[in-house]
Amino acid sequence: MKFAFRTTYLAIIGTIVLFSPITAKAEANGFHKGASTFVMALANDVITNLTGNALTDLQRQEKLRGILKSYFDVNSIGKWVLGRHWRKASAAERSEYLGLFEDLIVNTYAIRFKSYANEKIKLTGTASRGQTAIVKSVIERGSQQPVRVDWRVTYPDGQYKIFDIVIEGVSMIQTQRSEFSSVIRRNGGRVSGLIATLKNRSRSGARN
Amino acid sequence: MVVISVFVLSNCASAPKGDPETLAEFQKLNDPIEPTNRAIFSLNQGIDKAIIKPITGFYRTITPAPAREAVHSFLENLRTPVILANDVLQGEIGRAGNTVIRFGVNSTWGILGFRDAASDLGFEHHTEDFGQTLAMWGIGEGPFLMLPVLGPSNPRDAVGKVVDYLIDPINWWATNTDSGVVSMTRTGITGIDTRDQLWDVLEDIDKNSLDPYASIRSLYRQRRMDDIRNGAEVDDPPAPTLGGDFELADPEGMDRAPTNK
Repeated sequence: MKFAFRTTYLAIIGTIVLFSPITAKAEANGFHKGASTFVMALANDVITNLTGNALTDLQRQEKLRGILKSYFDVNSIGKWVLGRHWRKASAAERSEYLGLFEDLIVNTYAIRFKSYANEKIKLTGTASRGQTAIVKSVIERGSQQPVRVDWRVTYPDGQYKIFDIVIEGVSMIQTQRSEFSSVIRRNGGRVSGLIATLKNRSRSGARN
Repeated sequence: MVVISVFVLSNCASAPKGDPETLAEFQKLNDPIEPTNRAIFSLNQGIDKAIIKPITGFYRTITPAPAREAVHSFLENLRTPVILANDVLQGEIGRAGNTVIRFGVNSTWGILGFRDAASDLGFEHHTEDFGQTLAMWGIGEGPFLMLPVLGPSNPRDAVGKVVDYLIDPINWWATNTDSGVVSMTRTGITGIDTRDQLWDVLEDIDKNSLDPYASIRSLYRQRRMDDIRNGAEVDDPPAPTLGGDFELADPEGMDRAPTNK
């Protein structure tokens, strides 16, 4: 009995050891492929809907807001960027912050797509780290040096979402986090200080 | 000098007491002389606004983008001996070979280095410097430093800059032949080229950052880490729910050790 149990046990372990790397790899490949397709879809959406001079600035901002909501895990990004300060923030502060964070991204980035015209994205490979797929690409800009861009893609709630964009080794969310944490620190460690700064920014952004 | 050190010491941000999270964040920021660094940063911004930016702006108006790219390639080609020496010091033989081939191709077919012809053939440009070599030898960066005029740095990278200057054969030649003008001209043009390369990034920070000093500190450290990793991806990228609900802030991602891939 004991022997039989052990054999069965070993057989199960053996099977797991033998086959799990293969299944894991196959799953990873499927995940990578899906993530790559997802990044290309995002790039096409951006090129079709955000670039060029046909849009007014306000239209471009609203289009970007739509793209942000469908392709990015905005709330998780917002929480991660606030880091440990998220825990201290009240429920009201959290929801106000998330709204202002979205506005900040929309106001900051929308204008940039105006001047985009000859940019082409080329996927160069994939990798995984934990639950994150990394889709690597270069963006070619005519005669200028190409820019290396990594897309960190997660799969929360059964959908691909961008969690971070890394440009030439610089993580956008990491940079945003150090900026926000500095603003909070210089405002006596209070999230309300950051919220006030973001509100100011959002008002001056609306005026421009 | 004494005045400067007294100024630096008296401006040391004292480590926060009590709250362990605040203390951990202070240590991760790795910026114990932040008040002094911020003062130098303001000074640098003034110098940039008054001198460096206007000169670079003028350069950008009179020189079309492809010509500026050519100047940049030429200057990079001149850096070959320094890059090669650091490739070798890091034991990166493949990259050293790449550097040699690039120099051969670009100095001839690339017309004295003005055209990066080697990249078209698949021999991509890479950068190396003695700061990175020291990092590969296991030497830590030390505290963040804002240097007057030169901008963001740290003791390791500042030493690296000096060593790179000393091992550059073009500087030896200039010293031996009394051609100080050549070195000075090269330094001047390199300065303008560097400011030109950073133009868009700095415009962006100027317009959008809530705290330009914090942004530049973060950008510099992330870029250096990326240079040291030779562009390989980090082992533990930020993840939505890593370690439950919002562990200690790691504002600079400095928990990530450089890996040589």
